[in-house]
Amino acid sequence: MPTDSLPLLKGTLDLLVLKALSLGPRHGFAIATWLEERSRGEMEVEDSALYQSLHRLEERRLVLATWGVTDNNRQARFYRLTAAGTARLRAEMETWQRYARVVGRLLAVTAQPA
Amino acid sequence: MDFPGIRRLFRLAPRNARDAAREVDDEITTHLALRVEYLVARGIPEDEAWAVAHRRFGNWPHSRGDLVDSARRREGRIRLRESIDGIRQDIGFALRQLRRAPVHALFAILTLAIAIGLTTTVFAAVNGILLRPLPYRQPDRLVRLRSMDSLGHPVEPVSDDNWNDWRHDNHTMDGIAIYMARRFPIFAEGDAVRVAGEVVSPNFFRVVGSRLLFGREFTDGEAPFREAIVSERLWRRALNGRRTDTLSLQVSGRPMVVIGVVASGQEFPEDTDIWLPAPYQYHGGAARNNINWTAVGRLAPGVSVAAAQADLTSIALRIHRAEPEALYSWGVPVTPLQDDQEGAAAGYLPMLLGAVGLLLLIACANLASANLARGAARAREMAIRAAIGATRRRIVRQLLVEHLVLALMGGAAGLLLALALTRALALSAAAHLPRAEEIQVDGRVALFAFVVSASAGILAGLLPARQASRDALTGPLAEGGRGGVRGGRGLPGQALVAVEIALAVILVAGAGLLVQSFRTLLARSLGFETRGVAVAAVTLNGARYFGQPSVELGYWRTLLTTLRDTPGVAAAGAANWIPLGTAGSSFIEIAGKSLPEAGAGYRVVTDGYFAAMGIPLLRGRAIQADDDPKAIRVCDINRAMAERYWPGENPIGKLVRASSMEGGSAGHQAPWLTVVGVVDNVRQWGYATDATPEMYVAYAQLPDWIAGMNVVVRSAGGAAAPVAMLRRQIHALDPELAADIEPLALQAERSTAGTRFIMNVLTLFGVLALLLAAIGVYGVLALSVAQRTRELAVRAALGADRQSLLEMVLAAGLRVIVAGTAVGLVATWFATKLMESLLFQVRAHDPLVLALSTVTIVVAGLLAALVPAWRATRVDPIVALQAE
Repeated sequence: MPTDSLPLLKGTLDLLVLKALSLGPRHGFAIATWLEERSRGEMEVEDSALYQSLHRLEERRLVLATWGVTDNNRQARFYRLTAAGTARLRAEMETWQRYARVVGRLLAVTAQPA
Repeated sequence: MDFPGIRRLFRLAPRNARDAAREVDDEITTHLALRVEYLVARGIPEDEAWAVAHRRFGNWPHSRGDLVDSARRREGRIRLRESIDGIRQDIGFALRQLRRAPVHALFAILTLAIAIGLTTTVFAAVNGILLRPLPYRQPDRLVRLRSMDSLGHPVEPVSDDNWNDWRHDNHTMDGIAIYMARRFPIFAEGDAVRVAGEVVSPNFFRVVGSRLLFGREFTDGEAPFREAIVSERLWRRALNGRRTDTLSLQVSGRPMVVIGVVASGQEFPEDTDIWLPAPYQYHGGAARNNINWTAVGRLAPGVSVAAAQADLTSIALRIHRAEPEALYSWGVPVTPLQDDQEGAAAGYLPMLLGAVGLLLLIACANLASANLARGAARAREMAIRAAIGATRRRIVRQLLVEHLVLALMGGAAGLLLALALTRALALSAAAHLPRAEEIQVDGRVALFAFVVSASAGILAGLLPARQASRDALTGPLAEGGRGGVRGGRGLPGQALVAVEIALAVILVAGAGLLVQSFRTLLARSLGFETRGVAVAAVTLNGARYFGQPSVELGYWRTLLTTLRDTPGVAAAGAANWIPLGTAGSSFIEIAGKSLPEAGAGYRVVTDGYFAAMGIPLLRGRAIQADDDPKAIRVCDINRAMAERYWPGENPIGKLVRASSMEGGSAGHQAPWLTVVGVVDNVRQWGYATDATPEMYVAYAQLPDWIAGMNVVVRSAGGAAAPVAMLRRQIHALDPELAADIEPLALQAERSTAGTRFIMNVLTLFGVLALLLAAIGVYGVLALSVAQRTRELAVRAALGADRQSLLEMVLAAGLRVIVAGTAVGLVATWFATKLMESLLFQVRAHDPLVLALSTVTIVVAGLLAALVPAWRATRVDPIVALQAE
């Protein structure tokens, strides 16, 4: 794992997994590569952490898993968003964007004379 | 909203923990393979690619274990949630079912509500009386101490001299107190009442550990006889609940300072309103035998009941060796006070609980058989469910849930019923149940109701569920869903109905035995005539009477004369102790005979007493008005005394003296009394008791120690008891006198209230059991007739006449009834054995009662069978067959 990759903020992984699945059903490895490629290698996640996240989401009925066949003919577990998952993604995205906006604004403040 | 059942649609079979682990492994394998493929495609050698893939996965092989764990956890939670969802669906479905058949549901709920309500009420009584500890401080250390006679029999009362030695010489007790019940006239704030009081040793409250609302206990050792402790109830009523330093009231005409108030519910004995300290003085000698007190003790910490008993018995035996005339000093039986308080209730409450349990079982069987019947009608529905994939387990669960829903609704209604019943019970049973006011629905009782309801639901649901799951698989769909004839297995639920009948036989026979026992009891003569008699318990108080025997005597003479002169009065007299209440007895000596332990009941009466009570004079004469201090001392005796002490002789003119009652303190000899008459026996202690020797002495010839008397007035010509007139006359003489006035018949009735109560309750159970069993018979036959409509129509078409159809259905019913009754009689044989101690002169296997119970059940069952049988004869062949 490259040493300059970003550490993951708590709770972010679940959000990113939901986002990945919002683009269509895919298996665990596809989610992993999606994260790597889309973050241009800046965000690398341990694969086991990714599966833990999937288990968590599945238990909360945010995603649904079924066995299917990959392009190159392998049995893989495919995940897709449920209606509840879609709703959760929307809510989490809003929260996250607001948070990032506010934190960014605060960090941009420079010292001003009193 | 996510559709909860959707997972199942995507999955072939529900997974267990092992499947979950395998699935994780498969998924990891795929993942690693995909990663290697990906890397190889980007020019990395395969063996290096594997190493990278594993590293990227993270902390191998721990990560695999973690994933398996999380997958298992996930599966467990999902399964739990799905079954909760499933049950929620089942409940929703059950509720829709209930709405679809509201009459059936209402009936089931009502049946269960009554059975559960009664069961809960009886349990509440058991809980309040038998299970809950006494309300005083550290109640497990409180014990009852008794005397023991030379035969080793425990004797409840103790003498104060023995008590004094016990409390000083023991090494095992924290304290021993004695007390004696009395009724005291109280005068406060212009209001005169008589209340239940106790004269107690000064250490009484330290031993018992009642909580005081405020104030202090008596000072140990020397408590002056002008201090009183009162109950919260009396404090509120007579002293308006004032909290000042100088509370006082008049007790028996003397002013007393109220030094403390006992908190409500903390009274000992219960229902006491006032406690007065008793000064103790040593008498010695024969006074050891004056056992007038009740003793209660507190064990020292860590001391067992047996150790205390051994310690106290050694003291008692030492007393006996030193003073051989001490008759009741052969030991000191010690028992936990809790056992003592339960009294008779400990005997019959478990029996009532058993009886109500039977009733509940009948209700369950009833519900089950009704639902089996409905189950047959719903067989098609179940088959369809099975056909579209419901598992057998699922069908069983759904039916159990349906029954649980019914049972819990019944239980909730039952709890409401129990709330009302316990309140009524606490009020109505207060007179004959100890601690009746503690009968209430508390957490434990509510929990009991819940558990009973749930168990009832499952119990009632088991058979229908089994039946339904079997039906679902054997498939009535194959029969085309039409009213096919069930062959071979007989009527559905007939075994259950037979069980119901068997249980009902037990209850009906049990109730019958109690009724028979009670009738036998009441058929006995008490030895006096209660009709038209009023009794006033009056205690003379105030400075006007106190310590002035002639004034007291004057009062009673004037009152009795006035009463006798009142129109409508046939007779009037008075006695210190009347039958069915407390009384005293005395050791006696008979001139010319040596009977060292001879004794007799001792009652003080005025002239006119025997006439007023309706006690027949057998020989000689009754006590007369001129049996006064100037004449020789006389007494009347009862027949039992004449037969015991002068068998075959004429007792008239013989001499007897009440050595302990009229003698007592050292050096003072009781005077000789001349027997002047013999009266018939009286059951002084109630219907169930036999007469013992009794002597009646003349009030006018006694020293002044009696302040309270019971004035007895008989109205002429069988008119009603003259209660109002008696009150008027007593108040006309002295408006400040408090009196308890009521008909004598009421007192006689009260003496049997406990027995009557149990009998009524058990009779109610019996009637309900009978009703439920009859409904069961009706239900099963009605269903069978409905199902066999086609068969009956064919028979009718082929020429069967109405009578043969009627007989056919009745015979089916009769088979169930007879089978149930036979089993029931066998069970009754064992069950009623358990209630033998409650029966009076009736055997547990009384043939008359058993025969009558059997007939009742069979008749009720046949009546219930008549309706469906009649309906069978009305089947119109044409209509029934065209419906096909």
